[in-house]
Amino acid sequence: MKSAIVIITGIILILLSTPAHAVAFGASPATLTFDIGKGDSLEKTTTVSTNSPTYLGVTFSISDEIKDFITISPTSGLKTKLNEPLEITIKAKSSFFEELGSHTGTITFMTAPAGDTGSGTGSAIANGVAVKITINVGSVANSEKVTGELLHTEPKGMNLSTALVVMTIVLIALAALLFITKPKCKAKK
Amino acid sequence: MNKRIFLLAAVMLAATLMFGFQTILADTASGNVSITNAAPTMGTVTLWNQNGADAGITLAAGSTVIVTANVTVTDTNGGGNVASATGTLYHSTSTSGESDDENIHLTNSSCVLSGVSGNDVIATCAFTMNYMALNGTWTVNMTATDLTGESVSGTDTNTVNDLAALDVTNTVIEFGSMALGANSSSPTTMIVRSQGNIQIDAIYSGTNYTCTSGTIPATNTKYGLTSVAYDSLTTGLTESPATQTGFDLGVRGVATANGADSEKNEYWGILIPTSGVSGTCSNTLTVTAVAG
Repeated sequence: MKSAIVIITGIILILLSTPAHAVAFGASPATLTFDIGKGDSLEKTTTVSTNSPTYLGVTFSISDEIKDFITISPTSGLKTKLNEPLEITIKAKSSFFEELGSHTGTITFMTAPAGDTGSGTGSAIANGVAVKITINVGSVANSEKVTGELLHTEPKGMNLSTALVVMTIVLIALAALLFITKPKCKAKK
Repeated sequence: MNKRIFLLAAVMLAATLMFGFQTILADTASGNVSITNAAPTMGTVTLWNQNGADAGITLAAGSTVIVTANVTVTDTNGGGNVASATGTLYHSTSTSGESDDENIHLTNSSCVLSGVSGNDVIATCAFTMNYMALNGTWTVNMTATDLTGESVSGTDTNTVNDLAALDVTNTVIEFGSMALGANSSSPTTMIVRSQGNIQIDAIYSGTNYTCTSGTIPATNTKYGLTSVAYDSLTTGLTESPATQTGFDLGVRGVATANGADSEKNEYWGILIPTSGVSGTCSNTLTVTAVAG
């Protein structure tokens, strides 16, 4: 009984991951750019698709250049088939202490090999697609950048006329202070 | 007395004749009002994506998606007065009036009219977008025409995302039976076909070959874009992914004629070690598409 279950499970897994013929495999968008500020994060999606009439198991890898910035979901049970595209959420996050700059890398999605080399020497071919990722870490996230024309605002300090009035008052006050505190001269007898 | 009776009779006769004639006249009068035709008008056109959302359109590798556009058409002569609707969907490099092209232009000449309600009717145009429809801005132009031939048009735009996709037509590369120390005198051909809407490069990586006895390093495999003997193949296969930047596989219909697949051949050869291996040897070769 146990062996029967193992055999059936094996057959199901093979059917899930191994199409009988070559199939198309791709991802869209194939290029994603994340503009984020220090300590910020941003999510985008990419869709993995195929024209295989049977399910393809999908695995993924993130290149070293961006693996500290990127998380994806879901991470397990990935599969796709014709008319059932696989939507992947990609989250880019930078630490508050990250230096400003740009980081580029790829997230690669792969299928299991489609064929069997049989009795001869050869290679079983697996398909993959790489999504190019660019992460621009700036001082301000893109969504927070000010766009459009600058608004005219009054300067925070005093304008010229106010300053003159204040200076005049201060001078008068100083003069008055000097006059009051000036020691009176006494005539020597 | 007779005079009174005669007078009453005369009055009744006159009244009968008068009302009777009026009735007759009313029965025979005919109204003839001609209502002028009012041209239809159109609300806001919306081009939905493949999921019916007002968001970017994502195509499917080697396959098609269906996108729709709809609009409410108003005809003050009655919604049923709208006779037909058509639509074109075209890339920013094309125009509404151009002929269909699998990369940049689609036409639906019989959009669906539904949901007549008073003066309104909803027009819906569906378009089948294939994987080679170019990325960028697409415009839908919908036109509704009434029974007298008067028409109205409206547009909306949406973005088609880039799609990197391939199909390796071989499922395996067979090197056949080889002697120890031999290499491929003639290479084995692998065909890579574009299944997306952008030019792609190929990234190759491979595992070491596991033989019945022993192993062959992946680096004993060489490949190139020219059909030459093993020694002249340009690049050695590595376990870590390596991009062939000169691959440059174009989009179907752009790099080729409409309807013709865009393909490239990659040629493969192997060197069998002089000792340490026997039986059959196999590995996994991963072919990855990347925007290029």
